[in-house]
Amino acid sequence: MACNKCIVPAYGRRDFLSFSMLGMGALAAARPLTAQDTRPEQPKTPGQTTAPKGKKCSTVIRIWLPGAPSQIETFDPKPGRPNGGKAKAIDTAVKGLQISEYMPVTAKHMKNIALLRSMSFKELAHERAALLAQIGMAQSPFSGVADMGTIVAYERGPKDLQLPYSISMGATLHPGQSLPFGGEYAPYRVLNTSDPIPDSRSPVGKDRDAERTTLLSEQNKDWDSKRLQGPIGQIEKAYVKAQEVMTTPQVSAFNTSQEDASIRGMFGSDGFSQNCLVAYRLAKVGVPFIALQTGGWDMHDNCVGGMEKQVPSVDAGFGGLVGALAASGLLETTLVMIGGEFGRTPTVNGGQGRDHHEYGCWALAGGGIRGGMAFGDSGVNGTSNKDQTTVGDVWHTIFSLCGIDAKKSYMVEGRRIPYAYKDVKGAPIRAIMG
Amino acid sequence: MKYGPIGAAVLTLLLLGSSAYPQQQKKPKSTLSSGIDSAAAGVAGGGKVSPLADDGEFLRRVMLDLVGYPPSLEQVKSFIADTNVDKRAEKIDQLLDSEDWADRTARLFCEGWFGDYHKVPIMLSPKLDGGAEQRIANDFVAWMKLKLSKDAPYNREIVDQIIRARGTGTGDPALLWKLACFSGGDDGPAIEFANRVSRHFLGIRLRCAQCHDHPFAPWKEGHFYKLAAFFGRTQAKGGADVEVTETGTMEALKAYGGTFQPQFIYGQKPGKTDPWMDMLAMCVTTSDNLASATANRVWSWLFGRGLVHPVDDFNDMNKPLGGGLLGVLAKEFRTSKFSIKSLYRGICNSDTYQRSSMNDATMARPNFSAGWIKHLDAEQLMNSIAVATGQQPRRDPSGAMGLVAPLFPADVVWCEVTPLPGNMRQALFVRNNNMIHGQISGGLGKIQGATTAEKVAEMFLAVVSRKPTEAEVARFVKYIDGHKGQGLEDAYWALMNTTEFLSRH
Repeated sequence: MACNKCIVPAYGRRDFLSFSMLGMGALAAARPLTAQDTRPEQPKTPGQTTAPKGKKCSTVIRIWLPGAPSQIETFDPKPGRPNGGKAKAIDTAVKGLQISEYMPVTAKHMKNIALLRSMSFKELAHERAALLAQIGMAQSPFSGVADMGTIVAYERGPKDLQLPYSISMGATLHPGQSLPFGGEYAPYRVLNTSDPIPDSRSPVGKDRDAERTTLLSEQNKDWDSKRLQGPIGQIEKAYVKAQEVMTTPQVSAFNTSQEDASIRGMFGSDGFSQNCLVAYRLAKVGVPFIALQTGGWDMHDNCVGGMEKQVPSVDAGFGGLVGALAASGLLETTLVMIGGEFGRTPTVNGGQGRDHHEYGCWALAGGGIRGGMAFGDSGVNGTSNKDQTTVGDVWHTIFSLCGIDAKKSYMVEGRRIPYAYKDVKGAPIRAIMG
Repeated sequence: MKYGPIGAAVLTLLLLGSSAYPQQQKKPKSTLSSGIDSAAAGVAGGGKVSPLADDGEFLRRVMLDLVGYPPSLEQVKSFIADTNVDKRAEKIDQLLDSEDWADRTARLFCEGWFGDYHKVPIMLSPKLDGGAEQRIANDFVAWMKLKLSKDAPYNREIVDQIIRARGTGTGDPALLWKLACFSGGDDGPAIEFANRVSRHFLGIRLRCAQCHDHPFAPWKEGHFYKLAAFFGRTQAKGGADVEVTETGTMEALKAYGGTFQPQFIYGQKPGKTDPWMDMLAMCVTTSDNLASATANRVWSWLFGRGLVHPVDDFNDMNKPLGGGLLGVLAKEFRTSKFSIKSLYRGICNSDTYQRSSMNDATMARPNFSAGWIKHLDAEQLMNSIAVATGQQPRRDPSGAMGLVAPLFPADVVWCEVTPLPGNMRQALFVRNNNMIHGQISGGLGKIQGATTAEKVAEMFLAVVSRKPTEAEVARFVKYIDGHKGQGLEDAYWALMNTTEFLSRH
């Protein structure tokens, strides 16, 4: 029965009939809900997770490199080999562990980074592979499935956070619309970091806004209370969140000029690096999930030359981020993952490019990851794959470090979807966990 | 028929009301409308039901649903003042005959089938020219609109033509649907075709059966591949124009481990000389599935949720809500010769559709005892803002999408679905956006009245399409008079941010 074309309903009762079996939190007591409110089972308020308190990972930063960068020009160089391209290998802060010369900043912080050099990818088409990494399904038969970020946000988001729980920069996120979790856990897209949350200031000033908001609240109280159904509660909640965002000092996390010069100096000056700096500041105020993205890696042509130009920007951002998090002690509870859809061929094609490949390399740092190591080995020519790990293993590693039960589930269109869907079955990679 | 206390009260009021106009007799309800009401009464289970919505709430609801924008101040006033007892039925007819209804409904169908129909991926060899791609999409939407406005039978003149579409793009405006099967996906166009035929027209997810027998329906793997086989010979080539022919070999399907011959899910097979697509079109358009699936889809557009939900997932474990309700819809849809307009007309004239959204009894689950409340789609939201601030509504999403897209988390379409309702970003936009702020004066400019109370009454009509209650007048007058200079603008702003304004209720 293994299939990726459909999701079999967990049980056949219509979802709105079964919603009453699911706890809904405080709101549920106040008003009846429709099917959209099919929250995860075993509900709990954000922040109260089963994770042991203390050093568990509470923020995940995902750096997604769409197009899939070559592992050979980044984390797994093969200098001097026939297909090694022209990238030399350089020493890192970890003795005996070398990476590409295009990544000098990352090399400095290698003590905190674990490389997965035998990632094995089943999906070799961009879209399916990207969906798999982000929503845990190679194909989404319907809208509403949650992004990994939504799950982390829902499970680990602190109650007093006034910014959105899941923030993405530079990314056009895929269908992880996260309907069952409600608007507040959906990925919030920052389109422009100089105006990260548009319309967050009242055009009439604070005092007058407060006055007219009182009129609005009175009017809503009157009208809404006579209509105990439908989306009323969701609209009300959106307004509460909007008002929080308007007044919170946490929004200054987007203002990088307020950061210490010593931290700022660890990042590059281009857009991606600056987004990484914002991500650092968002992690500092407790945003549980941050998605970053920088593309242009699908180098079927001229991978050998192209990477030389493109990798340094990612190196400055990723390396800087790990360095800054480590310097301020945040790395203990903040996990950074970086990778693309799949690997690229260890052989170079006629156009000096590299094509899609089932083996590749991802890297993880922080949040309980044991750094300073490479797990897996692609061999002397990059063609073998010892100690394989999969996208599913990475999902389970992250869930485990965050103290999230991967078997928990939520409802979408009458289907019960486990947090880690069967497309991402796997196990935590103990070898890289501290 | 049983009436709860409220139902009885409404009945009494209606009887009293009609005696005030003895010369006018309301026209009787159609079979479809009364059939819906008696089936829906069964769902409500004889409990309390809400009275019918007042004129303003009804007008706003039916206009948002049928044409995608709310009534203007002038339209609300004249509708409320109209003493014609059949004014609701006549308004429904008038809306259904408008170009705006055909336009919105064509877009609803197209977005349901293609998502953003401006960007349907068509992967052909040779590549289809960009201009041709755009033209084919535009032609399809225009063709749908024309068919709907002429109330062409949905089975014989829309679905039939879509399935039998062939030839060149310039020659056949219905080609887009079939071309969308060439999406470049992993499975190839025949598999995609079977998937789309079953979801769009038959209301079933036959694709489950691509890998395994359907768990809650009688569908086997063979059903899926034999349906795909109808498309096995279909080929399309691009260039300056597209050409679709049925002269290919069955090569594409061989990868799926068999030499499948076309056969419809209920057993019909084409004879030796039958053109395959003609045969399939006949099977689909005469199947019971088409009537139920289409009626269910239209119901979902009007109520925010299908009787079977998701709308394309009819199966044994997903029985329709409302007992015989869907059966009534499907039967009357057939009787009307698959007239989409008649379907809309019947639903909109029913008490079930026209009930007030107010419910004093807690509705533990949707049961038609009160009018259903739903989120505004992008088109309704933007047009509500436009109309409330004294501007013309717009039908064409281009231009507005730049403003709308960031309000939703993923690929947003204009009218068919609202991907993520009620998020913080949408609230901030309506609350604080400078452009909207600047436009409030445009709405205020139309508000007349000698006293503050009169102005408040007009303001309610302009923004939420109804008269205020006494308590509301008092509340707003107190605020406005207590805030000289800014009070009116604040009050207008407050109304535009109410849950009432931001929902279709």
